[in-house]
Amino acid sequence: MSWTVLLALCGVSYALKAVGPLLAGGRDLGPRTRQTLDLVAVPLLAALIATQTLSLGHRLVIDARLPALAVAAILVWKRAPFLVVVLAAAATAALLRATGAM
Amino acid sequence: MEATLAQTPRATLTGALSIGVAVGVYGISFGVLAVAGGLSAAQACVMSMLVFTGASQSDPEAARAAFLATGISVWVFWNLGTLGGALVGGGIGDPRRFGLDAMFPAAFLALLAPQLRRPGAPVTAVTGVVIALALVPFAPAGVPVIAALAGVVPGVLVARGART
Repeated sequence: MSWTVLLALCGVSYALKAVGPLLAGGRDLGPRTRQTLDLVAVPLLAALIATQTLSLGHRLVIDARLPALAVAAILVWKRAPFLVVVLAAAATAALLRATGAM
Repeated sequence: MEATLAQTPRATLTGALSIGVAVGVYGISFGVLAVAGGLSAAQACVMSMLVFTGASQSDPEAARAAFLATGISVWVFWNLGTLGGALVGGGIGDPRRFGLDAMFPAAFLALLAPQLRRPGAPVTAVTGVVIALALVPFAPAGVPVIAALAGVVPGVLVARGART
């Protein structure tokens, strides 16, 4: 990646962050707008989880990342700390790959 | 990220540091993967420093100090992690061997879980997943995730239906 592309991406990222405050401008948003905005992060996170677990380029695959996510899900449900969740997922995938299981 | 309300300055500092360390570990895997993905170590670090901006929540007053402390701590550790990961990244071979690629979905899941209690959130999440996975074979990288935003529509409908 070139430095120009990298800096351009950073600029876009800032511009996107400015959109919210500029549009809202300190006004009190209606309950419906708030309700919609509250939900915006949900499909983005869910889609990131799904694509980063199941896709390899343009292919959908099942590999060591899926059992790693399952372990993470159990730990999240058991209210384990963030660090434990993330490290356990990495360890699960690493172990499955090292043993040749997946 | 929600800043925890400060009880004592010491508790605030401890909390801020522990969140920072957790994020720093995550930063290491970002650094490793960025280098594996073709960025130079310097590019990975600059990107990390520039793109990282917390969602700003400046009030109420009481949460402000805790939010600031956590923000600074997270920023420092995230960038240290990226630097460390980017520097060793080239030397460790395939980062997948250490399961680093499994860290990101796990971290996103930890962020998503508390949000699923909102009305309409489960159907929003499921719709988003279906849309994203359906688009992966055809659409350019990044598009499946953006398109998943449409999952908000059934979510809002369900949330309104539940209320009336």
